[in-house]
Amino acid sequence: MPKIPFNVHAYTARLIGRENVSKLEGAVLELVKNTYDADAAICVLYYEKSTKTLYLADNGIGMTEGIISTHWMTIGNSSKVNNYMTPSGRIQTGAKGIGRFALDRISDVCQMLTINGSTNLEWNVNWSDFNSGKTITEVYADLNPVTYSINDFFSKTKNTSLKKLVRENFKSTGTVFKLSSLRDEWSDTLVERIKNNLATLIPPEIENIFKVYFFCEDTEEEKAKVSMNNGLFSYDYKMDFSCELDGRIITKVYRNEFDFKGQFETIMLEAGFNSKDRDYFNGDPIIFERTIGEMLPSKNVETPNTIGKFSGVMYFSKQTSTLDEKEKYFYKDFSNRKDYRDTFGGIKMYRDHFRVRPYGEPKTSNYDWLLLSNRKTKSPAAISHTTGKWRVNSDQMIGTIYISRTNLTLPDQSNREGIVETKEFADLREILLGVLKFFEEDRQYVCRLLSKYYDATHFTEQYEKEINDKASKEEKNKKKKHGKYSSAPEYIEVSKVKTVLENKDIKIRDLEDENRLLRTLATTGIVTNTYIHEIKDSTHKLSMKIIMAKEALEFDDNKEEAIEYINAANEIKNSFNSWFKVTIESVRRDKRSMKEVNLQTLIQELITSWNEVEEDKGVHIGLEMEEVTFKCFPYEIESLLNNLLTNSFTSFSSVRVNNKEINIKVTSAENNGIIIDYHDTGVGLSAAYKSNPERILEAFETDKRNELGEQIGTGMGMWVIVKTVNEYNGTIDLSKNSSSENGFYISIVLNGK
Amino acid sequence: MCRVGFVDDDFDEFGNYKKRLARRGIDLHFVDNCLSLHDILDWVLNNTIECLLVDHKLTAKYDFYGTKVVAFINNHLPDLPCIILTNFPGDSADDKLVMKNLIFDRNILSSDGEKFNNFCEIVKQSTEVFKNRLNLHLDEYAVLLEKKTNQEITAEEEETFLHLFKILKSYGEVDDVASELLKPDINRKMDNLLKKLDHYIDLNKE
Repeated sequence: MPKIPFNVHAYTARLIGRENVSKLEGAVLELVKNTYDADAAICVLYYEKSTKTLYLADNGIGMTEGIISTHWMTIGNSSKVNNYMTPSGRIQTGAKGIGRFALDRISDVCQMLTINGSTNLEWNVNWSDFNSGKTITEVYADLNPVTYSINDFFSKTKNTSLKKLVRENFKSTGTVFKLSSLRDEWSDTLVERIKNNLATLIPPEIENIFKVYFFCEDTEEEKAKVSMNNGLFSYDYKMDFSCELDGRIITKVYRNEFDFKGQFETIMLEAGFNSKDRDYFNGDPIIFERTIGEMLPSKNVETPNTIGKFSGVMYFSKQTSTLDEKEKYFYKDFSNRKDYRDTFGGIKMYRDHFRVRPYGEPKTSNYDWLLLSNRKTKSPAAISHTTGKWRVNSDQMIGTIYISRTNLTLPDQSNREGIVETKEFADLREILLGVLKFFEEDRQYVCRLLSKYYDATHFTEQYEKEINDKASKEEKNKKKKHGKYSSAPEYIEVSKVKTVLENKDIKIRDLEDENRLLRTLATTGIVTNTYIHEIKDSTHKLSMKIIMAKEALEFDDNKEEAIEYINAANEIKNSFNSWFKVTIESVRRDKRSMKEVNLQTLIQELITSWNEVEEDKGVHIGLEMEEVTFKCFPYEIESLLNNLLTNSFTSFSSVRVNNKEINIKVTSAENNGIIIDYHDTGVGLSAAYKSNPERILEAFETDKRNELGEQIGTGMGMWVIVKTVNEYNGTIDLSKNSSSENGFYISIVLNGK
Repeated sequence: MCRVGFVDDDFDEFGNYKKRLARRGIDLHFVDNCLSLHDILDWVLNNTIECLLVDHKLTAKYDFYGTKVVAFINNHLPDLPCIILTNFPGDSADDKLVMKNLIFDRNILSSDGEKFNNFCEIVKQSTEVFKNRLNLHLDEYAVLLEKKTNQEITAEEEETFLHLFKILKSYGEVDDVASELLKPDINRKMDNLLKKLDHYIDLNKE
């Protein structure tokens, strides 16, 4: 009987390839991996938008005709199965012989040029031929010897930086693919995504031997470089570990989370840290040396290392913490830390410096492949907990685990979707958790001591806690006994309560100060907002003078006229100064403290500045006042008047007012207080507020509207006034507005403090 | 030089604008002594303005905003190009009374180089458009005048005729005759007047 060979339909071969490389990112990654395996020092990707073509080039060893026909063209046969070391000693990362299907995933038509030192070969394939109904042996690719170089291959591309890079680095061997009729729309977002994907693929450590570039039509070389090693990486703890063939695991834990500033020595002594801790805080690693057996609780100490050599680096890097925690634990400032959780987050695994997906892949179920969140749920203790074990959360970790092809007990799954779940893989996970435990224990040790130290140095918080605890205990007892006290009520020393109250008073005062400053800043904002039109107008006038000076010289060669214009520009600059005086000066430090103030001088200076700003608009502000001394925060008085004045100016500019007068009268009142009578000749309150003028004092109430009737005022100005008047136990009288036809009237009484 | 009007409530920079624009072939005139929208329209016609630049916020001098001026002028002189110049182009656009591409940031007047030259070209080109449209109106006016002479004109055409006459007369395109003389009942009025005159002469004879 004759022996009949099996054959396979060409389309089936293509399907197998598609199954293995289904995602575009995976396909690009596969090809980049191949370039690394070809001993390349540089891998270049170039997407040319105008021709919708993708180029992929490497300066590796290239392929001979023999390799192309026996390995590259034989599906499932990989030269890497038996010879996984490259000539330069690099360990190759693929072994399934399916990488070329990545090309099919990316495009329909592929042209390859490969130069191996002796021959230049061009290989062309049209993947749609696989759909023609033929068997695999009937589908052909063209392979021809050619004379042109990789440099020539790129001659028609449009990016000059790319051409320069190719010219300088692709002088001898290498391989380049030109992929056209792309299957995907290569938008900017997709390009960026692939770049980021490649960035996570290349660990900072191998950047020196293998560089990846991604060019678009207008990308410069420096921008094209795919790199995550930007030197700005900020972390709290670092764990550097390695496992040797003899099973020894050495872990170095670095503390980088704490900053005691000038209190280092005090805290070292008073919080109870030992002399070694002093070195650890200063950057020395805490070194743990264990055997595999010691790291795997179920094994004995002599357990042999069946996993092989592996190593890794993991970082703990928190993203948030409360103010209290920052103070208690002396955390270093991490406000500039970037949230990389969705990009670089997770613990990723690399085999011979290439990612083994999907471990640590953000936004997937494999992100937390060490099940850190489960551990955290089982042991949710806070870091300062005296007995409970603190566990790190998965989104606070970032790391890289390095394995290689020599780890035979950690084989790839054939679909490239991870490692086969061998016993050794489970052991590896266990060991990684053991490494994490070193860090968790150290961090908890430090934080427990700092928490204890904080409690010892912050009596008030302790007392407050005691009061709260006792109050809640009493409340619970009361509830249990249906509102009746069954046991004696809880007591606490008066001195403790006094300390707490005093502390609260200080906090309230601080908050009041902050509030006051915020009100003044709000006023500055309101005034600036009101004056934005004038500021723009002045800026325009200033620009006009400058351009006129320039043209006087250019067109008429008239120096005198040019100087006149420059002088006029200078005048406008002075008006800006007056403007700054009435806004920025209000928040000057010396105006932010409570003191006895000569009100006449303070208000007169303010009014003079305003008159300078407003005089060219025909506004006149009159001030009638005697010499009055008043205890106040000067910036509050200015803020109050600034709010009233801006309201009047807005009123003057909203409709045509012939007489733009503002009159302010300040007189002394009982109890060292003052009365401010304010009146303007503007349009007055709108009809909606006339019957009940007090409504205008509420927050967000405004009758400032544009010509379309849309609200343009903030509704905060009068509210700021009310808050300030309340600070001085004062009163506001708006009643005159109800009876007057035009103008705005307000009488304010401020009582002495 | 093309004649361009300028409506603003602030005269401070006008001299500088005039000087700069004159260097680029634009003769700028300040709209003065006007209080109402009708005053501005009359001023435009009396000064044979071929393009109007209007500031948005006019409240220091007028009871209306610039967008209202443009809407009013274009209602009466649909062909007159009107451009809003303002420190806040967004405010004028929000009014939806003037097309966005006819609203310019006032800073264009203090700009330099190509930006300013482009603006001047837009102004000059718009005056050209206006002049060409006037010529079209002149043709229409000639047709209506012939109809009127032949007593074939309808009431509606009569109104258009008078409107065109007012515009064309302002811009010196037709002879300056009192528009009263062109009204349809002018013959009857003349007959009445002559009758009264005859009667008066007869009375004096007696």
